[in-house]
This record gives sequence, structure tokens and C-alpha cells, in this order.
Amino acid sequence: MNAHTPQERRPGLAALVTAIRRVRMRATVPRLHGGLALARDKPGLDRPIVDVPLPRTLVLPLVGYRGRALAPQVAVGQRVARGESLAAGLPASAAGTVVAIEPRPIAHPAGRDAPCIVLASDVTADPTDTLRPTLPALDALTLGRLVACGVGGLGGAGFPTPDKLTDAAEGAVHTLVVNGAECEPGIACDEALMAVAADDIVAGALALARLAGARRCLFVVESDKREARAALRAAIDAALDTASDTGPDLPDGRSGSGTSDAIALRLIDVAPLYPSGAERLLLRLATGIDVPAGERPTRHGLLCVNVATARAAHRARLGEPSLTRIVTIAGSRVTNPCNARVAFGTPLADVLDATGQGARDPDTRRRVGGPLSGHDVASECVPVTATVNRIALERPHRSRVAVPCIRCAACSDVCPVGLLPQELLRHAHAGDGAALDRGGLDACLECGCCDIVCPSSIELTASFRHARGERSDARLREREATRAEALHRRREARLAGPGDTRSLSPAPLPATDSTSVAASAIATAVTTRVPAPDARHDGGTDTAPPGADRGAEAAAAALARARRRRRRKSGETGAP
Amino acid sequence: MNAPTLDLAAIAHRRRGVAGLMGEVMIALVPGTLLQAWLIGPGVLANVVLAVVVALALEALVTLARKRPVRSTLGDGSIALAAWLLALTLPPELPPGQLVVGVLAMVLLGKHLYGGLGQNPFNPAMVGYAVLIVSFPVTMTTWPASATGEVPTARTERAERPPPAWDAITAATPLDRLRTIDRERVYGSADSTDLDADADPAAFILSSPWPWVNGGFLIGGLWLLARGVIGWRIPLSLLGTLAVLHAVHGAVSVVPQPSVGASLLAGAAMLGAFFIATDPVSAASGPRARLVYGAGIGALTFALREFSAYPEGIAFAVLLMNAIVPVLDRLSGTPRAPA
Repeated sequence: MNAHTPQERRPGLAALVTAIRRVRMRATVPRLHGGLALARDKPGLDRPIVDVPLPRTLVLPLVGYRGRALAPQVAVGQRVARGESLAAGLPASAAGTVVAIEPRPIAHPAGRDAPCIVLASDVTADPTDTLRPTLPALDALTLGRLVACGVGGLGGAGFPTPDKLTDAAEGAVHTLVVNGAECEPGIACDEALMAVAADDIVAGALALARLAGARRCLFVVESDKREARAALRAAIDAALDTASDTGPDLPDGRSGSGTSDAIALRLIDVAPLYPSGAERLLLRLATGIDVPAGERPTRHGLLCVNVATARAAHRARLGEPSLTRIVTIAGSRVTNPCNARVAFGTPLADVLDATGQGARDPDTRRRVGGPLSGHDVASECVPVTATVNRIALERPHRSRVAVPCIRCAACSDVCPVGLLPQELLRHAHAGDGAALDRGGLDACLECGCCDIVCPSSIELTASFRHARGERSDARLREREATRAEALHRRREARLAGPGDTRSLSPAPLPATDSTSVAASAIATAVTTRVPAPDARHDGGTDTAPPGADRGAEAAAAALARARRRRRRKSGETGAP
Repeated sequence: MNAPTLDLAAIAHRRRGVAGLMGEVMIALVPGTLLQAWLIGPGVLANVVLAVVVALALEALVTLARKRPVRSTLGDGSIALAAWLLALTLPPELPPGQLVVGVLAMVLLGKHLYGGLGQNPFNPAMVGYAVLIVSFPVTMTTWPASATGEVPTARTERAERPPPAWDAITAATPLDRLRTIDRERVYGSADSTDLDADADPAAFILSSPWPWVNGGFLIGGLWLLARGVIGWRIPLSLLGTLAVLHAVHGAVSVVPQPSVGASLLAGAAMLGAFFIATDPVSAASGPRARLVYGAGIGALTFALREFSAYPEGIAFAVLLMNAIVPVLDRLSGTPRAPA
């Protein structure tokens, strides 16, 4: 709602009306628990979306979801056509020549380089060249078409959409939720897209819902996105009007809901609170279904896609590969805030120049993503990828001096997943991993609400990110140790051979050593799942294990030697 | 890359620092403080100024000794606020030496012994008050006559006030007087002519300056609530519990008791509910824990008012509840959305 911005705050009766409307809205609109009503800051919505022309050089990172490396399917010097697959799920944004496959800086929080395909594009005069179809249109969307067109998640996380639909095929998905709740300040790309391409979004959502077997399709928009909401409502009504046999069916007499081809369509407003658009929170707001942290929504019958992804799915059905996305260009040092359609692989410098951002001061910071969800990048050579929803130029960061926590609990009041950040911070500082797990660190969305309200200026989110990294490392180590132990036991059993009375491993462990007992129990459990190479090495010969396991086995052997020594020292408690 | 992960400067959201929070609490203290100084005596203001100055100086010394940044430690305003709160609980004619003892206890025992801001389990101002009231029980309960309401009968209590030099100008606070009278009535003391059996204790309280002073703190407290500086849970559960217990007591008591409204406007109820119990450092932090914490303070305050040797129970009630805050936080501190 616009009334959040200070310049729109009017005195007298108008302010009263606004206040009443806000209270009414709060009473009627699904509302996040916690969260923050941040000032509405949606740059560039007052002007049309700018088409950024194709640059001469495109840089396409060979990096998939969560940093997974992609194998290139092209060679240096090869000519590629527009939309041709360069790697799994990575179509060429333009026709051109592969000039290099080499590490380049990418949009990575740690500023890492990653292998990229560098493409010298055939520059055309038409900046919308990337939008022409390359494949014939289909009657119904297929999974293969999504893969062929490189439709990936265009929301925040970049989860591959075809994988979501594969999951959906396994679980019984009943509801498709289309996420139009772009709640983070400073980002307006989804809102800009909804205003101009609502028909495509609705068509794409219907196509995805049919593909996934969903019976209803919910479009979730924050109630302050008036124009986007109106466009979506009109598009939904149009889709219902053209629905083949039964015609529009409006059970509650409202526009913006009904069924089309037995798929119910509904527009859902949510209160404009950050972070309503986070997937799990959005699903709870829209459907009331809780998806626990670490579980996929498809297991709970839900499929959630971003509005831009829905549109890309529609375009894919028509044969157009997914080669562009809308990017918001904003920030305190940006002279021309706007939303631009950018081909994947376009370096930031080309986007900024094409949208007329002028010369950059030497101390200007470049940032990719929102002020809360994004991160700074060192260079303007970083290319735009599916998850780059915003490019910002900002003034240098003013460091905030943290003072001690005063336990005011402002952080737990705003935490949208109901954690106690002040307690988690204490555990993180103490390095108490078990307490962090108990406190629900895994459920943390890293939304930054706690940082925003903390009067002591403590960097809570950064601590949680760090602690989370440490926790996953520790868990990995535990898993490795368990695996090594299991391997070692198998090796000992193999060495001893059947019928050997001087058996080492079957000897029960000392009863006092409870951790070892537990470990052996786990080891036994693991052994049953590990594919047993013993069958192949029958006859008691000491064959070398597969190479991958060699290091772990050596470590386990050392561990067991130490344990045997200890057992001997503490008196023989083994088998008689 | 060492870039900050969050760009908070780009978020247009009103943020209050610790100093800002403390500053707003101090602003909210102004009406109550001025009313107290006007109705009870200018010594109130002198106490506030002296306590704040001594506390700042002392904290500067302690911070230097602990090799911490002095400017930011003093600048957060927490010790100045604590000193102000402590001064408001003291009789205006308390000897300055005793006040300094209280401030010493507050800064050292109450705060820095545990490691400074955010680490202290007990409310520092109440630690200072507790040390003073057990060390100097006489001067700490001797208020100028202006602090007492109009006694409907002859002023027979003068004989029992120990320091004869202050006889002409001193008296107990209304709560103190009422409790004494109650006891005399119940136990049949010889001097039970102080208040007639049918006299209204509520009128006695309401004729004193304390309802006005409490009203001043109530206004400040409501302003803090409206500004979002404090939450509603602690003040509401504290005052609610206190009101319910006073109501029950009034209904079952054999002797007349002041009305619930008068009880809530007597003593330090409003100062305690809005300014002392809500100290974030020493209070419980979970939503449910805060309700229990406030209710506990209310119940203990009532018990101490009625059954202890002390005139007002807020201070000890707060300290006792501070002691079980870790338990409260643990009991109610389970996250709503565990992994």
C-alpha cells in the first residue's frame, strides 16, 4: 500500500481513511506471523521495461542449482544456434561462437570464479531477438519441452523447474501456487512482469498445473501491488471466459476466481509484509499447509513457482527458449532506476551501460540481488543469471558498531518462522551445535528481519549463515566417520574370514564405552545399506577396496587400532 | 570477499539503537518525575541529578578499569536510566552518602560484576534499592509529610517514628501507614485509633500525592507502549495480577481495604510495571514467558505489600522474578517452528 511511503502520508481525513483501510485489510488478508512492514520501495514501475540489447560477449556459467557443476556439451570454436543446449538446462542466449571455456567471476557470495562458456554473439539490431521461438508450438506442455527450453526457476533460489515437476509426478500434487509476492524492498521485476504479461503468467500456470496434475491454481500477490493484481485478475477472468465447455464458474460471485478445465483458479491477496514471498511462508499463507524445513513442497501436494517461471513455461510451450529475465536496476548510486529485460550471460557492465547509469564513482559498490537477500560482487564482468533479480549500485557501506545484546527480543518478535534469534546467537557464539539444531537453525530463512530491528546492531543473519555452514560441515564429518567405521568393520570381518576363532570385530565392545556401542550400532545399520563388495571378493583374499573408499578405510583402520590398544589397556573384556 | 551480506542502509526502516531506546524511556519518565518533584519535594530532582552524575562517573571508572570503550559504554544511556529509576524510588531527604552507596551497589553489584550491559541477571536499579533498604531501613522509609495523605484521625503515629529531629516533617507513605494500621487493628494494638473503622482507606491513598505521581508514570508508560519501546505483556500481566489479588483481598479481608484502583495508584505500581519490570536485559524474553514474568511480579508485589516488613514490594518482586527468568525462558522458549 502506497500509504507506507512518507511522501504519501496526508493529514486529516485522508490519513484517517487510509488508517481504517489498513486495519480492515489486516483483518481480512492472510497475514504472516512476525515479519516486517517495510516501506514500499519498488523502483522503475513508472516506466516501461527496457530491452537491453545483446552484448558482443555473453558469459554463461556452467553452474547449476546450489553450485552443481555442469558439463559443457560444446567445444571451443564451435558455432551454436540460439537456444542450442550448451550444457544440461543451459541454452545459448544467442547464436554465436564459443570462444572460451574458462573460469570467470560469477555472482557468488564468496566472490568465487567458476567455469563459464564465453560466447561471441552475432549481434543483431533487434534487441528482442531473444524472444523468437526456435521450436514448434505444442498443444500441451511437456517435461521434455521445459528441459529443451532451459526453463529454470526464476525466483530467488533458482531451483530447476523440471526437477520440481519430476517430483510432482511422484507425489500427488493438488495445488499449484504461483508466487507473485515479491516482498523484498528494492526489487520490482516480478511486479513489472505481472503488469505487462499477466495473460502469459496465467496461461503458463494452467499449463504447469495440467502437467503436474494439480486441481487448483492459486495466484498469490501482496495487496499493495495494485496494478499487478488488477492485471492478474483480468487475466484470470479472461482465462475463465475462454474455458472450453462449462464456461466461467464463479462460486463466490467474485471476479478473479473460478474453474477452467476443472482447474480452479484463484487470486489470493496477502498482507504486504516482508518476507511473505518466502516459499514455505507463502504456501502456509495461501493453503494453510505447513511444509517443514528441509522438505519439498511436492511431498505435501504443493507445487510453487515464481510468476516469471510460469510465464517462461507458457513461452516454452509456444517454442520460445528461456533466454532472458527481467532485472531491476536500482540503488542509491543508480541514476536511472528501471526494470530491464536482459539475456542470460550479459555482463553487469553492459546492463548498466545500456540502461544509462552513467559513470561509476570509484567507491561505488555493485550488488546482485536485493538489499537483504543479495550480495556484493567485486566486478562488473559478472554475468546475469536466472537468480539475478536485481542489480544495484550503492554507496560504500557504513559499518555499524555492534553493542551487546540487551535481550529485548525484538528479533524473536519479528522472526517469521518463530525462532529465538537471541538464543541462537548465544549458541552460535558458544559453538553449541546441538543447541542450534534444537533451536531450529535449519528453519532460519536468513531473511534478515532480526538484523533490521536489532537495536544493538548485531549481525545476526551473518552469524546464522556461518553457523549453518559449520553445522553442515560437522554433520558431513560425522557421516564420514560413520561410513569409515562401517568400512573398517567389513574389512576386519573379511580379513578374519569365516570360521576364524581369533575373530577381531565380532568381539563385543566394552560395555562402558557407550559412544562406541552407539557408533557400532549405526555402523551396522549403515553396512546394510552400503552395497557389499564382499560378494565379489569371496574367498578371504585381501583385495584392495574401490579407490574412492581407500582413504576412509585407512583412517578407519587407524581408529580401530587405537581402540584395540585402549581395549587391551583397560583389561580384556572381549569374548572369552 | 568481506562484503557485508545485508544492505541495511538500503532498507527504509526506522531503527532505534540502544541509546535511542534508553532516551525514549527517559523522555517517558519526565512527567512522573516532575509530578513527584512538585508534589513531594525538590529533593527528588536533586536525587536524580546526583544519582545520574555519580553513576556516570563510576561507570566511566569501571569501564576504564575493564579496558572497554568508555564513550560507547556511557553513551548507550543504560546506566543513566538505571540511576534515574533508582533515584525515583528514594525519599527526597535521603542523605547523599547513602544515595552514593546505592549507586555503587547498582553499578558494581548490579551491572559490571556480571560483565556489563546485557549480562546482568538482576535489574541494576532494584539491586541498588535492595541494598539501600536493607542497609538504611529508617531513612529509606522516611518521607516528608507531603508524601502522606490526610489522616482522618489524630496524628498518633508520631511517637512511633524513630528520628525525633525529623518528627515535624516526616511520615510514612500511605501504603506503609495502611499496613501498620491494618496490623494494629488485627492484632489489637493500643494505638489503633489512627483510622476509624468505617474510614475509607482508598480516600486516604487518593488524598496523597502518589496517585498523581503514578498517573504521570502511567502516561509515560502508555506513550512507551504506543511507541513500541516496551511490549504490553509485562505491564498488563503485572497490573492485572496485582488488581485481581487486591480485589480478592478486599473482598475477603476483615478490615477495610483500599479499592483496586487506589491500590494500583499507590506505591510504585506504575513505575514498576512500565519502567522497571520491562527492563529488557533482566526480564524474560519469550512472549509467554513475559506474561508469566509480569504475573509473578504482580503476585509477589501483592504478597510483599501485605505480608512483609517492607512498605512496597515491587523491588523485591522484580529481583525474585529476575532470578527465575532463565527457567521461564527455558520453559516457554521453544521455537514455534522447530526444524
